Amino acid sequence: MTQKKVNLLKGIFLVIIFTAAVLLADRILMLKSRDGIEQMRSFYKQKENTVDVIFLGSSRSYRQIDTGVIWDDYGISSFDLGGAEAPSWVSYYYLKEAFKTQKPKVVMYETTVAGHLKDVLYQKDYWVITNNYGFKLNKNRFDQLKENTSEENFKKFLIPLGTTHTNYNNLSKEDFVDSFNSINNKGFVSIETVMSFDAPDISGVVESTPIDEKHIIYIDKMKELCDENGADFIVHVTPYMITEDEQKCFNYIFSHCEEKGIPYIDFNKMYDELNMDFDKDMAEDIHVSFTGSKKLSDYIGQYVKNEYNLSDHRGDKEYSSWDVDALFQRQDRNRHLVETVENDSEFFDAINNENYITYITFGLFNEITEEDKALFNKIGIVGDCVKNGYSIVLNRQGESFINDNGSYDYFLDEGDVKLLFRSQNPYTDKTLNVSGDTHSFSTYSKATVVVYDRVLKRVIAERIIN
Amino acid sequence: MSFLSLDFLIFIVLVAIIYFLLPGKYQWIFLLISSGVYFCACSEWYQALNLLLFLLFNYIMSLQISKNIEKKRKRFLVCTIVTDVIYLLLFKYFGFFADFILAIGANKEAVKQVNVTLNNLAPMGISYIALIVMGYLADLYWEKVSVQKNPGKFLLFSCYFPQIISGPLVKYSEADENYYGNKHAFSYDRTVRGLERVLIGVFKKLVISERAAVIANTVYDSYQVYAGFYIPIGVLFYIAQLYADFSGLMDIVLGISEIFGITLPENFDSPFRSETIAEFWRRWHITLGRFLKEYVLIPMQTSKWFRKLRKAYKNKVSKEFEKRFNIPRYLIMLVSWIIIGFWHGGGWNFIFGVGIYMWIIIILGEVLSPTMDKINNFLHINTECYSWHLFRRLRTLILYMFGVSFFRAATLKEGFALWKSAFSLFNPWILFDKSLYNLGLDKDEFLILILGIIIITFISHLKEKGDVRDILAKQNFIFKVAIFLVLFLLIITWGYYGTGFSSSDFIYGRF
Repeated sequence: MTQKKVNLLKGIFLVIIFTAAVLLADRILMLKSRDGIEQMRSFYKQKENTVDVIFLGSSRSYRQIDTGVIWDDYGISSFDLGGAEAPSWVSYYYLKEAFKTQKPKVVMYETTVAGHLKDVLYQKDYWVITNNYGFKLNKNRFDQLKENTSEENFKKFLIPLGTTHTNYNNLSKEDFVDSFNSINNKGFVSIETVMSFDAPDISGVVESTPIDEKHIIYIDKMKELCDENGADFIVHVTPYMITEDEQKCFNYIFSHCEEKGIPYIDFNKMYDELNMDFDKDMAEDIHVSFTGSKKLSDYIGQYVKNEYNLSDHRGDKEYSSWDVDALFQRQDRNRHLVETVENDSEFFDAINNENYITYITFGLFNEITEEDKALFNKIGIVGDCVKNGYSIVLNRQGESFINDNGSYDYFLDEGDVKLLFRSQNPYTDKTLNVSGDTHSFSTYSKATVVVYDRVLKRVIAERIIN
Repeated sequence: MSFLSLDFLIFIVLVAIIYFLLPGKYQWIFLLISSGVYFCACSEWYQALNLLLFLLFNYIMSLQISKNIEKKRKRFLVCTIVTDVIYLLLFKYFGFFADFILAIGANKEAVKQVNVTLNNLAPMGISYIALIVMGYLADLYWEKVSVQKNPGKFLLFSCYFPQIISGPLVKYSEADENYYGNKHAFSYDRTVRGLERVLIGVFKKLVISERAAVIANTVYDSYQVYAGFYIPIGVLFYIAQLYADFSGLMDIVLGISEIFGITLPENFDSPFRSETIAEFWRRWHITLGRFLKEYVLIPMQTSKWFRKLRKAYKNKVSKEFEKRFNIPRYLIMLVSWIIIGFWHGGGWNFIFGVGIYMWIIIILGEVLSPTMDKINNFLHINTECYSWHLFRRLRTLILYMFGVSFFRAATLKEGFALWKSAFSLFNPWILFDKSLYNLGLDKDEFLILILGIIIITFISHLKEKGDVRDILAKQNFIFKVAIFLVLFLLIITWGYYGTGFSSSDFIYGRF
């Protein structure tokens, strides 16, 4: 081979290796944000033409509308393609991108941002990034960035590494695994908190306040895009602690929708239909809680099912990823329940779940009563094993384990999570090591219960029974 | 268009592609056009026009110097040099004279306005361009080079874009064939070597200099609070910032030029290995020192008035005294050092810190040298061993540290206040109790900075055995690629660039 050819090959090798290095660094350092980035990236992973309903908008879409509930109840394949505080121009480009691979029958746009931030023309820097970096490198990505930030910032945000490279000192397992970048992720992200409010009343507000035209222009553009692609477009506002001033903005948007023939739903006037309980259905002032989300998602699922005659895809292998998503959401809702129940009886009811592996050790000194045994009966543990000093592993999808106060090593390999239940000195030292994270069991209480969720792949509860 | 911007990256890639596609005879023209584009992209139109007029004047005068009889040539040279110096003083250093002008009763607002206007009109890189051109005129007068009649080639020599903002100060004899000689065909080896050097330069700037600047800026901005040991720490990191910044910039400039097949003179030669301040300045900003030596010091030393002065001095003092205290030479050295100081910033802090102070140290070194030798002999100190050389290097660093601390200070007064603050508190515990992490860099960032400094110190150490790239060239291809890949990844991840960082311009880019 001539020197020229050798140099050419070396040159090609260098270009490939340095490009690969940049791409790898970009992938690892990229924000694994579930406020836009993971939604878009997971959307690309969906099988073509499988998504029937797309929910657009801000966190008030993807943190409230549970795709798992809609699937469980109606078999509708939906996707939360929202982004943090995403205004209409951001959602428009999400939709444009979505139509490249999907033919949704219904597109629902949550428009709270238009009333909440009615005069904002550009988003905050961080949201600009999270709403943009999920896109593939294409025209929609550049157009959205251009529309959503100043000219100066456009250049600054153009290359993700310029923003994300500082993540090097915050890298975690998720940065390498990126578990939410998956076909099974349908965009929904739950909220943990629960807050109590008095229900707002805006039923008497009929006036309108004009909002910046940019919001309206892009609502119209989304409608046009849906018309071109044969999808029905609906504008809606989900429940929250709305003010009169904000309602006036929504009245303006809704009257515009009426003019344009765009269907709209004002959920803030439908608290009774939704069966909203403001004591427990709000997570904070602008988002609904787990229970609120379930109610809202139920209603929306029923609405689109009835109004647009959507097919039930349950049982269809093409749509099996919605089964996975729904299972994940169910487990997550149950986790929240397990974490928040107060009395032991409710706790044992909540952990009666086939996807849980339950580690139990009984203390050495406190007497175990019949009442206590009744609690363990709830999860199917009966007989003589409910006894001081005993250790039990209740594994509903495998072999369970019982030990009568001896030394033991009970190992379970759950793929990327390794669990080692160990007792070296039965009187003082019983531990569960979950991939390096150690949970201890008390010998002075009646029992210690540690619950591992196989779907969420983590320990969800550690409870001492006294 | 900063060298570290995306715009410049696109620009340089396009320039390189077109450059190598062009026939040899057009390559210099394309470099000239590129230099013009670069200059215009970085400047206002009136600054470009100002520079063009300055260069046109010098070009016309260069023709006059080359073709006239001796007496006239000298007149043209003197006239041009005087005009150029006045031009430089006006556009770059008017602020320095503003105080004097105000002292004689000038209107404050008017002086301020003139200063602002002149600053706005000043062309980018004029301090370098003016010296390059004046050096050329002097060489022409001394007939060391022949005149460049082609105005385009003259322009390219003066304003070749990679060197426009910070040198190195190229002599015409080095540039002639270099810029517009034979076709610089694309060379894989040269391109890779050039890119390697650019990579090293970017690493120095983005990973080391910008990080060190955080500490230096914290200490300098609040030196009253960060008293005692914080001050030398701040100054040390300022030295790291300055060296990484300037030598990094030179690596980028020389690396880019290497890709084009243009060899520019080196500006650094491991300065921190110097054992005396005089040696330090022979290794730091080499082309500036060379310029002053060849165009200021030697002409003064060989001038009639100097010879007269020296003769008069010889007649006044004994031979031995004259040998030990060569005061006429010290005087012209003082002039050179004042010029160096003044060139760096047109402020008393520069004139003192990198001018007069350095001169004093060098003179003291010379004067005390025989005494020091006697002491060493008396104490039987081994002056051949490594520890002796190490001691001398550390001593040089400490001496340099004091002078250069004024370089970063806003004024001469602030420079002294800084050191007053250093001696106002005895707090050595800050070196051990993690207080240094309060200077703007947390532990991780601090470690990255130290690691970065170790890497460039290692590269500098290797330089004694030859260019680090030559050493790596002897290794297997994959090993070499791995080294530069790691360096590249370190820049990508650790570099101070992008959102949240305002990578400052290169320090030496402001002249």
